[in-house]
Amino acid sequence: VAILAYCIVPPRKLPPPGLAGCGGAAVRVIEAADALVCWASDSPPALRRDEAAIREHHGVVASAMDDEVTPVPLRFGQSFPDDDAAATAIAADARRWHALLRHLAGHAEFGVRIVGFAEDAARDVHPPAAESGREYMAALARRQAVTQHAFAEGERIAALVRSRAGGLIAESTQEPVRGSQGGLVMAHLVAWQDVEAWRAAMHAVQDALRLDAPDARLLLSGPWPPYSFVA
Amino acid sequence: MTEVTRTAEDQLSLTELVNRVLDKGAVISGDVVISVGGVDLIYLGLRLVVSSVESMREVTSAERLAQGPPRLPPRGEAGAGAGAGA
Repeated sequence: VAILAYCIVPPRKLPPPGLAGCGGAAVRVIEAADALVCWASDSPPALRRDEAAIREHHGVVASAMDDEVTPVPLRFGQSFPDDDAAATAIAADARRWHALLRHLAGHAEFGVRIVGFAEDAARDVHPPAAESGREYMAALARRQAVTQHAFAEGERIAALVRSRAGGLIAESTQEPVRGSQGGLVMAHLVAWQDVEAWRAAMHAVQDALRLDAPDARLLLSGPWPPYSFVA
Repeated sequence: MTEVTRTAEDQLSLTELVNRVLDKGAVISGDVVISVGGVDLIYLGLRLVVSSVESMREVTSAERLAQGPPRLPPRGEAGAGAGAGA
């Protein structure tokens, strides 16, 4: 029976009784070599590719998190022909998984989305069904200018975030929001004992932005399993 | 298909979730069921624009490349209502 894999955890971490994965299939442990286990379930005959399936996948991964164990989350939809194939594939990269489990233990991921400062300006600058080449190129130029402004403003606010919370962030990622509205998406890896201080730092940044950049919004999310730190 | 009304907060939460579950996370060496085309189908099903997903961007870029450069009206037809790219 084909299986779906959800996350990699240390052997001591067992799924709670009754935990269901995609399609309602029971989650079980697959033991890989070298003290690694994978939480997996039988794959439904036809894996749904919708919001419910994404939430089911995430529900399993989130169940593996606690104060001591932080799982290595796997990307949605990874299937193997059977348990042995999954175990073999995991064992082949055992050093990588062990290193990640050690690095991530005691941490959670938090999202920081910096948006809002260019949405109004971006609303009217999509190159429309232009009536002339000149109009089309002018619209492209306006959109480019808005995007550049949004990116620069996002970078400025991201620097403010780092200055307020840099010491509380074990690792971070940053990428631009796609599209002309601009903005930045950051992911912070934060130790559990630093979470309250991190939140306080983010709220301080939000307060500062109300005066400094009232259109900007700093949207927080988490805690998440560390999806952004295992690639 | 039933339209689902979402609050902005719900939509943001879903965006954050989808970005992570589909676009991040470790890849072992199994068969990843969701391919680039699959991601596109998911988003059509969700009726959401989650433009920060890298895979979605790749789909869009590929479609644009396939379509070629935007079509502009021939000289002298500006203002005649012949929309470019139509």
